[in-house]
Amino acid sequence: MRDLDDLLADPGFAGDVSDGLGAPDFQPVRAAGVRRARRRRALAAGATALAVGAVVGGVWLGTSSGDDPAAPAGTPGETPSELAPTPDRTEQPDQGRGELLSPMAPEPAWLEGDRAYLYGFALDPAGNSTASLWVCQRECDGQRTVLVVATGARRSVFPVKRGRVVATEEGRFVVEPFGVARWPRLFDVDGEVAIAVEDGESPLRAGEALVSTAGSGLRYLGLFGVDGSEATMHAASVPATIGLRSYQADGLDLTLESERGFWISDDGGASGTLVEVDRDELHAWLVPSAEPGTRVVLLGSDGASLFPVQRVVRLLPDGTSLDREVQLDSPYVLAPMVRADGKLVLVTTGPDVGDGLRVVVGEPGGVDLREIAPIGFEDAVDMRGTISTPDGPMLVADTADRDRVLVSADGEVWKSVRTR
Amino acid sequence: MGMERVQECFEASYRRLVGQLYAVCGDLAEAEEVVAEAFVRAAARPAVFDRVDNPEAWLRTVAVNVARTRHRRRTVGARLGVTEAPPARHPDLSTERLALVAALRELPTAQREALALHYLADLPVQEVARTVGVPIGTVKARLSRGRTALAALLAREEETHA
Repeated sequence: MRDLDDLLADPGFAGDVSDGLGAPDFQPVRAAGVRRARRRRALAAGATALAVGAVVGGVWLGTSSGDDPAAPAGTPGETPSELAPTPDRTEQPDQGRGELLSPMAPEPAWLEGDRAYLYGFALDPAGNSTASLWVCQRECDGQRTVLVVATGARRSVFPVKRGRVVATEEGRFVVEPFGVARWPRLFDVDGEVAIAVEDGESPLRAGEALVSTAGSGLRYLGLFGVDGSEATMHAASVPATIGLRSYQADGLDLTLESERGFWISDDGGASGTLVEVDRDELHAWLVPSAEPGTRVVLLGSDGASLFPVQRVVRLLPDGTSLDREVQLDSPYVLAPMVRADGKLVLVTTGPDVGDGLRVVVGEPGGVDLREIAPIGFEDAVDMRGTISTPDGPMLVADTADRDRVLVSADGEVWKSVRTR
Repeated sequence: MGMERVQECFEASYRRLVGQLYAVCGDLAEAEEVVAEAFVRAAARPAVFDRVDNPEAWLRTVAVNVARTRHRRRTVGARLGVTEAPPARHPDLSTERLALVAALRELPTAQREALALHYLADLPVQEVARTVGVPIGTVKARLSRGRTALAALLAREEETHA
């Protein structure tokens, strides 16, 4: 029997199974669905007649996913709610730049307790501002996902959909929604800020955050530069045929993972070079970097989060790369970064239950990676990941206390930050 | 548009979803049935399905939930002696892959789902978390415990054959 890792690292498994299947026929599925819809309508007519007598004078709110218990959370209902209409963000926004929209009032009761799960977090160290995305786990009343923006002692809460939170300058934060063809939204502690959209494509400019939108069946429909302080947004220039898999922006240093290699640019995408790397079918993780010009990619074998690193690749501006195999005692990388002095920092864990978090530091090419004893890291229970801030990337660790996380710009010194 | 979208998704995603759900169910016939059931539910509510953000992810979640419910019913039925599971059907795979699927079937449902979706269906941990409806940390814990349990099962199997 082969090693368990070899057996499990089998990305072709599902494809090989499906290759052996015959051509599917949609007609029986359609017919069964139509029959079921008719039956449901007939049952609903009877149920409504009974319910009318029972709830005269009450309010019928309905449920979000009809009567299908297998439907995922968040499945749209048959009839959109008129109580809390969701803005239609499928069309490009045409808003007055900088116009402030009101924050949420009142805040949901679940937000303060352990019913709230921290889904996303961003930080603007200079502005002493944070943004955290919270999802209600149970006994929710009304809105299930909210964004909390805090600056000093002030905070505001906004109803949003799930997405990635990115810090821009001046205490403003972009929420990049995961939904198809939804547009980024901009917030600060005073309210949602209307974004003005510029025509055409242009390279990323200094101070802008790079965000994306998804398409149906497409992870990336487009990339956009968002200027938080000016409240403007534009389509970012990227090669049209790149076949984008993932991206990383550190200031004007862009790294785009494509099917052929890694496209790098140091001028926001105005020009660039393709670095071809023999990846041997390993997954790639673009490492956020605080040192301009230092680009590192981790290659590992089994996915995005439990990521046993196998090779460290340094991408060079002349289109070449340095590639080094690494073997760590604690091989699963949970969060990587290149810090301001150019050193590579990896926060890792081992394969067994109870394996702790370890911080290793070494040269950006993967040489001399050694475990260090970080200061202030004792309360870390899990890694949230690496976030981008206007001052460069930061590592973020979760603690047992949902009200705070630990952040570090170098992996060595960690400090506690409030989340809500 | 609604039913057309269901059909488009069916043509684009049915086989891929069956491949992924086979890893979860450990039985090709069962995988085909739960994926077909997910599409029937979409076809019964085409207007709802039309507004779903990520159709394939939605269908996968429905299929996993259906598989979980059917597994639970079968387990209860077998305990009460009222149902007997038909023999599993398998695709043409190597002996090692089939042994892995057999070992996965012996794991608790939550661990089996996490391992199958992450490793064999090649979904990132975040997508697994969304599919089975639990936080990412829970998926990581299930993967870690599942790997340990799976290694023990495969070692025992090897000893038996030796």
